[in-house]
Amino acid sequence: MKTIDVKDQPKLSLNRTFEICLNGIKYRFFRSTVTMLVIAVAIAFMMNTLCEGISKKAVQTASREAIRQQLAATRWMNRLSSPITPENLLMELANTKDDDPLIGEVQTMGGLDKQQTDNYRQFSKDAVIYLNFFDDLNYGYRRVLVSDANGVGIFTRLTPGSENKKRFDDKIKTIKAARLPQDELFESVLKRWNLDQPSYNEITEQIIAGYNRGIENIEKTSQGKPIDESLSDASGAFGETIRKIGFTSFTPDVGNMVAEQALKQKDTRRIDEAMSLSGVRQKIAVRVNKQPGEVKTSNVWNSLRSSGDAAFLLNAMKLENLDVTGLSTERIVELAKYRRDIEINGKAAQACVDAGGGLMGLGIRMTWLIIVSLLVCAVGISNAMLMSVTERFREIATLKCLGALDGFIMALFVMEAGMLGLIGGAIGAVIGSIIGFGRMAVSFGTVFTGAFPWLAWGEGFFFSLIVGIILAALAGVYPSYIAARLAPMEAMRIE
Amino acid sequence: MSNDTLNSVFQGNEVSKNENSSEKQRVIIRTVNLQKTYQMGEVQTHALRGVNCEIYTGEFIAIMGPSGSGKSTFFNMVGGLDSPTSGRVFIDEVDVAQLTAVELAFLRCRKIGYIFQQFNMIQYMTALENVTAPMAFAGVSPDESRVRGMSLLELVGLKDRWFHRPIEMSGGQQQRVAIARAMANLPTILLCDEPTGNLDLKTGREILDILQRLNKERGVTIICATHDTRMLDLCDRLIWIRDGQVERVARRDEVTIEVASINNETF
Repeated sequence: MKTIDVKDQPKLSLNRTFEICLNGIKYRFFRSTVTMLVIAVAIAFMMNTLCEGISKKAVQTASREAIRQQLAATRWMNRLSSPITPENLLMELANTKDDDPLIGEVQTMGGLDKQQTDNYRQFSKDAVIYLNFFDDLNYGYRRVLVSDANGVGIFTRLTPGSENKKRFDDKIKTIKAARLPQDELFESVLKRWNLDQPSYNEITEQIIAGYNRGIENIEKTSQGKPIDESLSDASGAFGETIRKIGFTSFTPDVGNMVAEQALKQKDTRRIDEAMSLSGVRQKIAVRVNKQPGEVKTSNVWNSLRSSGDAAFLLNAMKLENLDVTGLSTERIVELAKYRRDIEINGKAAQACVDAGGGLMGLGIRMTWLIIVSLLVCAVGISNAMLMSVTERFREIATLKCLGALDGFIMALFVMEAGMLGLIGGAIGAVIGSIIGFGRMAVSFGTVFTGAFPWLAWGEGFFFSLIVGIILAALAGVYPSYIAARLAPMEAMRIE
Repeated sequence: MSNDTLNSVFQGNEVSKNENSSEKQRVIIRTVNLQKTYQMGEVQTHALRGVNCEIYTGEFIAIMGPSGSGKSTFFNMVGGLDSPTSGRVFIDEVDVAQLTAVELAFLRCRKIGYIFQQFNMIQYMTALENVTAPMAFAGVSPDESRVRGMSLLELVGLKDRWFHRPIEMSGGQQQRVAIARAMANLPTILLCDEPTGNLDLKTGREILDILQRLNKERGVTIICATHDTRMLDLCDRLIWIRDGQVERVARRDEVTIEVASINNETF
């Protein structure tokens, strides 16, 4: 007879554990379903909020992109017709990347060399910190600190060594709410602005003078035409002229974009003017079966969707002997869509202003709500698993008698919980996505569906899955610990 | 259930009768002053109050006693399922209390087989999976365990029902699967807690046949807690336990056992 030599029991491979676990779930399917649904609900909630956040970010990006061109065109029109303020100059320069053509433009306009331009650019970055600081400051505090100075006037007022500066230094110590960021940098900015040779104040004036000269030249060249008219030719000769005058950041790409925008605005204006003529309005009123007084321009634009409507309008304009060069039915429909998109984008960009901070674009409050709901869900899972363990006492004890290690029992239950978490999480994520994206599609319409954030959604989906698995597995650790610690005979005694 | 089947199952681990009788019988289970006290709230229950006994290899032991006498507790101690509050249990001169949980698992898996009164089948596993579970824990490959499992099932006469779940089998069949499961890793000790308690007469007889053959031909030490007179008839020694202590130990030939039977047994 062989002696009993006691060795260590080998650990069971993961495959076999998984098999046994799977069998168990199949057998107790009904109760597992309930647990899965609990997880699904919590994950659906989380996914729904995530989808909202993702959608808002996507819509915001898309609409910003769409409006960007329009905004850029407007900006250029202002640039080329009105003088630039020192604050705007500093802000624009501070936001440039290293290869921005604006830097070269400033260099040309101000007659500076490369080193001076680089120094000025660095200065603008520093100065903008303080411009923003004073801008955001409560008006009352600002009055106390710098009287009624504003923008760069503040820099001029606080010349180092002056009475005003001394008063400022004293006052700012007493105001707790106004903490100046980086005191030494501020001193440096003031020094550079006021005391350098040449002072940055002077350099700024130099640059602005250059810009003003440029604007004068443009006015001379356009010979009295309004600026937006001339800009229709921005991709051609007029663009060249602008560049020659010194606005070197008006690159051909910018030119094309501005020209297109200018043309669209011009045509839109022509149609707006046409619609305000009584003859045209009467005809439209007949067509839409309303009183001429009730025909509002925005409503007409909104209803210009088919080429039939556009043709009608075109016809009405021709009958009034209006100049319709360049206006075809397709063009009118295109303009109508362009106008509608601007409205939607404007609304969308506005609606998403509060999308930011927190986790993946959610607010702090929402993140807390989700965490709490997930915790509640975890408690529910723990409870369900504890019930499961209690009912399976006998089975666990039998397995132990057959030689199962404590670790095996633990792995069995944690795996079961994890699998429930996976499936429940998947279901919940799908449901949450459908609900979340559905709501977003309803409020944002084509803007949203045009820019559907597949990648972000995929990330969110996997994130939810992982959260589901980990949550369920962690929730199952305590019950499985209880199960694993069971002495076989105690279990059998209880039954 | 022929001799061939029995041999085929136990290939590789053969112990012939000759070997058994020529080898000096040694103590396989020894308990020294075993005591166990249960604490339930404020009430202390002394289940065992100092039990000393020795069990030799190849014996067929029957443990008897009224309910509440500590019989089940003693049983559990001997099988490594429970730990005493004082006193020691030596399984083949290895103190069970000194073993780590992992080593205890090894013991339960390879060296001791268990048969319970309530079968304790795992409900969601088929008969074959139940039988091969201990083999899986022992690290046997799935293919080999399946082959051995099938021969074990054939041994107990359930080869055609290998794919049935416990819920689809009668009590006798479940108990037979339990025996097959207990023998899965060819243990040296077999612990039976009222194996025939839930079974009818014919099935009980079949079970007893199997157990007897295992004991005589394979030299498996069998320890039963039982009231079945037919089983008592088969055993080598009887131990009575009363009030947590060994009341009496007797060899088979010192006691007279009358096995009752019914004339006209149709089964």
